[in-house]
Amino acid sequence: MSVAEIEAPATAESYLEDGYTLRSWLLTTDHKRIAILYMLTITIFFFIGGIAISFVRYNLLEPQGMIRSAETYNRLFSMHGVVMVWFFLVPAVPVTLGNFLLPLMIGARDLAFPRINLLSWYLFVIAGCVLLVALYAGGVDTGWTFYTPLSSLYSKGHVALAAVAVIITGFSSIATGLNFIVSIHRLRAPGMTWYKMPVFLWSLYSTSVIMVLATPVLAMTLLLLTFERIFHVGMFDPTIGGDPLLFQHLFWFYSHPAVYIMILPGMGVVSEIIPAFSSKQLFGYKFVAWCSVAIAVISFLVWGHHMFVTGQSVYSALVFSILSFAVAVPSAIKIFNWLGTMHKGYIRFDSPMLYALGFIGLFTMGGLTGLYVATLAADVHLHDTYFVVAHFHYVMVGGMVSAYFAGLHFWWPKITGRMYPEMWGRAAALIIFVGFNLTFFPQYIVGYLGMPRRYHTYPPEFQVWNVLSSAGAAVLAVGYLLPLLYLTWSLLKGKQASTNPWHATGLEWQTPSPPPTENFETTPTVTEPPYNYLPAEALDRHA
Amino acid sequence: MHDEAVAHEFQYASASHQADTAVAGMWLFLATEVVFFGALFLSWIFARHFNQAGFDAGAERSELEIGTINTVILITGSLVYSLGVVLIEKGKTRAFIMCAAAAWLLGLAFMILKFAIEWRHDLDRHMFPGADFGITGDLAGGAKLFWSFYFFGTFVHGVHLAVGLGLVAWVILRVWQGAFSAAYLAPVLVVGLYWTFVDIVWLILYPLIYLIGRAT
Amino acid sequence: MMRLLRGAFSGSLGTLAALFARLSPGKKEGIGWRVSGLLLTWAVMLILVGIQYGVSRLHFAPGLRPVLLVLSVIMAALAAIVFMEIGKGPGINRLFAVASLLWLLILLGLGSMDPFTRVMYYVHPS
Repeated sequence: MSVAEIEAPATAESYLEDGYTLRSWLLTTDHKRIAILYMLTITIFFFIGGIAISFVRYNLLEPQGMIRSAETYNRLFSMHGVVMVWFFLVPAVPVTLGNFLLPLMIGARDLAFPRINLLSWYLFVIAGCVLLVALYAGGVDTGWTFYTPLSSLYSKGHVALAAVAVIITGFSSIATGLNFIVSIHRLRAPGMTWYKMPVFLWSLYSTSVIMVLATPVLAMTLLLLTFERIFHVGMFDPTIGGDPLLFQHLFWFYSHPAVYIMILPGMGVVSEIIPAFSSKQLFGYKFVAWCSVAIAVISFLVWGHHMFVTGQSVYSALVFSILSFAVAVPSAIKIFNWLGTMHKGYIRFDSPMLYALGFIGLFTMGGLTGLYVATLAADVHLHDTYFVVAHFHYVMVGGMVSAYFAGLHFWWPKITGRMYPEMWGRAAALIIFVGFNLTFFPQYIVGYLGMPRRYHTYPPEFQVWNVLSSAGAAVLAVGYLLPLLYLTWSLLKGKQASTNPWHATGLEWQTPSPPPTENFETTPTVTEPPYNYLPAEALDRHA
Repeated sequence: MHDEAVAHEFQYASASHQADTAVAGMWLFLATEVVFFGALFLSWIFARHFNQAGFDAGAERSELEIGTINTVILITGSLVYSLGVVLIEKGKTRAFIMCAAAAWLLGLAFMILKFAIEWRHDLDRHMFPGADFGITGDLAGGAKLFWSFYFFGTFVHGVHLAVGLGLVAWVILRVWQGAFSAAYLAPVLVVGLYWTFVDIVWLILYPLIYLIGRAT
Repeated sequence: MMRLLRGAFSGSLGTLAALFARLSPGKKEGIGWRVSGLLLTWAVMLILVGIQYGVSRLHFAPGLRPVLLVLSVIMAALAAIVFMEIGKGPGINRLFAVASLLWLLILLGLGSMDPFTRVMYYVHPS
């Protein structure tokens, strides 16, 4: 098609050829190899979390519950939450695509602290093992939120073990965030000014700010919880004057910003894909870039909206409600800018673009319903119903998981040096989109009608919605298994990828696919602005 | 040795680029520690706000003298390590080792006073907020909260200090072996930042534990 | 036991004083002013601890007593500026330090807004 695809083989060995032993992988400090290690690990956890929720959806086929024990049901959805939040969604894009691409995008040879990067993976694996032990021993029944005093004094599950696992994975996440922030400040190639950085880096930076400044609070909170669990006395115990709401404050000080850990990187991925497949500059680059930072900062000011019905001071609740509306503004600006980018662009509907478009639609729905639950009065009705479940799944699964797949397909040729089968990619994107909406849209309705979350039985009149949702989950499962199959297939049989198969801008597309260990033979000097796409060129190419 | 000492990893432009970045990394790590302890401080605010009388009744039973001596010890420990840094920058390696060793001993003294003497004394007086807690009556609840805060907070701080002792010992060893010197100081500086930070945490804990509750 | 501790403490203080005398500004050129800066800061911090300890012995309202923390904050700032040399090195060091304080303020400020404005309703034990 173009000259870019016919080029001399790279002189340097690719990072994949730099050692074939297990040791060369397990002791590597190469950010690209660590990204691969992470990718394998989180895929395992994604399917563990997925299996847990399959049982939950199976149980909800019948109003009286297909699984007889409420205790088992509680443990299943708790494990789904813990695994999916801390072992898939929080790490997903940063530690895989972020780890792989951040040094490439800033024109550096590695992250600032490669050994800390490897350490973060080992911490993650240790945390995962501790969690699997807790799971094997019987799991937890508290939900992923570990609310006290159930978790601290009454739960019969393995709360302490699960909490320790989450604390350790928190340190892994802090290590990653620290590495990213310092690398972006200190390792940018000559000419790579802040406003020449791709938006993906701005969102990784913002994500890292949250990882670094929110996660320590979670660690301290869960340590306090573990202390109370072991010694049966502590700061959250209401019988001696402690305040269980203190736990919720501390927990959500982390976990609300963590919701943005789970969406900001996705927004970054989409900001790369939309211009590339519209062959057009990103509309309002500075707005998109600064909106990432704004979201990260404002996300720290809204945590109390999870506690509107808990007995929190009403004045406090009012302030948190108003601030929660503020965080919607930068998110909306981004949506409009992506649409503005596509306007009059030369749009190609390859798989990454299909996933990215899915992201925009689903995230918009998730974001707008967020405004409902941020409204004090409406939240009294909607709190702890399936409406909330649907809301955050539209953001996290419809948004983040779509974005993860979008990014995975977009950079797959760069990471592996192979092209994936395009038709299968498009089919999977469509199946996931349909399956997702079938699963979660009924939950908006059934939640609005009043079905509470976290119960293993429900009134019979809600059955039709629950059956629809469970059917959707089956479709979704097929959609998620497909990429696992065809991406694995492409590793062996896929077409060799050229340096820049999508005709995209960015430093990562100027080095061979897969890149050599040192990323660039000579450190690049950056002169062009980001997203320097010319629609006319794209027209010529496809004429 | 010298050449190896000033070598740098391939993502950096120079050895000083790498050294400055390591120091910056430590500052960011300390920023995470600030919010980490911040959560503990918020728990202090909640517990005292809702149970002021009981919380203070618990605080009055803390060992003010040992706490004050320990505060002086840690401030001095930070001073001595900082003196060592000034000296090693001028190439006075042996003087640095003496200073760092003095800082290490001061840290050890803190640990002995805190955990071997003060904690034992507290436990002997039934101050652990368990079943046979030594304070009874209306104020028992708040007092239990104070002593939960006390044991938890001093333990977490103690773990940090123990890590600090390990790091300082490692720095002394590496300086003695000639691996760190005026030509390659980054690890010495990074450990020094952490060492003083542990001191700063104690400076905040000191009034929270020993001083604010003594209204009578 | 307390007297024993105090004795041990003043003894070690004497040893340290001897160590510092050997580093006195007159003998070593170039580093003298930095050493005296450190020693001065140390002395000021000890005085502040003394003041904090002394003031804490006074009787004043429990609600006002957290004011004692002001002295701790001053000491922490001194330690960061003089011992940790926050003024040296790349500007991001300062950025990180300031960010940590800002986030601490968010955590403590927004976090304590709830207990300080919450209305507690008394429930009769019936």
